[in-house]
Amino acid sequence: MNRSNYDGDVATWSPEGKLFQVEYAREAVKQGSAALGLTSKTHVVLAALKRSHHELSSHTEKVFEIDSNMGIAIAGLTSDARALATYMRVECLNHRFNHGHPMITGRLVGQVATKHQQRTMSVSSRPYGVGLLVAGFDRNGPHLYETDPSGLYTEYHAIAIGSRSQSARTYMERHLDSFPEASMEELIHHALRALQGSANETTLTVENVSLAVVGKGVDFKVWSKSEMEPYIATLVAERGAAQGEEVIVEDIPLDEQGDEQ
Amino acid sequence: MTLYPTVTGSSVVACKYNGGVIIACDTLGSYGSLAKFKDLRRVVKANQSTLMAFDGEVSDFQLVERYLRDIAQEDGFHDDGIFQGPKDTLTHFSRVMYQRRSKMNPLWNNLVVGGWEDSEDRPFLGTTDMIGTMYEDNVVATGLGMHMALPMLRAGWREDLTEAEARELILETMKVLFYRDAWSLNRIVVATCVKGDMKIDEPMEMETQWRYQAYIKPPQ
Repeated sequence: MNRSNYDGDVATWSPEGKLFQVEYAREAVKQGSAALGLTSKTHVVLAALKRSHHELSSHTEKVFEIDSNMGIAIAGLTSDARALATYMRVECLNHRFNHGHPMITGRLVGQVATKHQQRTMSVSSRPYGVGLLVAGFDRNGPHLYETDPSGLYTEYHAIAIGSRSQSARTYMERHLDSFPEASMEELIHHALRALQGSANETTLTVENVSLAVVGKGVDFKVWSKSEMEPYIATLVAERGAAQGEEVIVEDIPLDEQGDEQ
Repeated sequence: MTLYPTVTGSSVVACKYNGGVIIACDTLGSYGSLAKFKDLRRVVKANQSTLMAFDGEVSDFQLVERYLRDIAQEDGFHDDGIFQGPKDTLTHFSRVMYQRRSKMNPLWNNLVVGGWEDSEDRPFLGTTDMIGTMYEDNVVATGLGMHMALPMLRAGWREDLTEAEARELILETMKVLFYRDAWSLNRIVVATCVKGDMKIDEPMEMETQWRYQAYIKPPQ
């Protein structure tokens, strides 16, 4: 993306009708590692590729529980994401106390989108540099939403965001018809296969993958490494069989800021 | 700082039955010991699946009615087909009552909330007082009704009460309240709520018996 005369602050339009600061914020989301979500008639699955910025460091968590009926996967500035996650958690707690039941996912997403939008017309604050995939289950069934620094939010059957997310989206478009009736297990397999597309040559392991499910009778939970193990093993085996060769574990090379190349 | 109410409604009596909820109040608005307003409606439709009844200060409940309208309107704006149910309504207003008491300016009402809780597919009945004490129960009454109607309701209540049986039970308690509560009236409104349907009946006059020898010919 090129520098422009109209990208000084978010309160300035370009002659083409763009807000460059918002575009730049959306770029931060695109640079983050892949996160995806898919829905069936009964469940929502979130999966994300976790980066570790140093060989000695842990992999940065990308999926967060908000309440027992909803959670998020993020792409972009993790610190901005944590601020939004805290806001969402507090809203959910207050809603439970004041209304006697869990918050409706779509309504909270609308509130988050409003927070984003308010920062697209302010001189004193910058937009959040993070996109959220919000997975929730309420009386109307399972839901998956995407929010974005511009304040736009959309509901999806399946969506992927972040680096190389197009591969994941392509996989999901191809298999979309099988999602509604899929069991939770089948849905998870689809999520991991889609995520592998975005991971490219990197092998998915229990270290660099984050997985969460919410649905009918299933509270939102980020899965532990041991819980993911069988699904990761299946994926590795599938991939090995398809490639007809031994699979090498390879981490994504990083530049000096710790960002993915 | 609120010290005392001015125009008041008296007891509310309510109970669950098999498949629904029934609530009753008289139609009197008292101006102290003057029986001033004889057609006061103290049970209202709070929203699509909830009835709300009040005792205490009439003007304070008129504010509650405005809040109910605003909430329903905002729910409509979300365009997601989801509206407040009875549990939501009671919980919300309990918090409002508590907040007002914390500011030393309460809404001088006891609220009874009954309806069909869609999210749990069951009848719901509960109450909150003017300081935000909230609870749910199968039988609920406010004011003097707590002392006189509740024992009768508890004795007569069963899980499988039919609507007719519940109505009879409620009516008995309302009669007793008319006999003994000096600020009550024998003209009452009975309302019911079942899954998918709410009905607030037109006021009815209760038959009461006053022709006792002691009244006709008082002993000298």
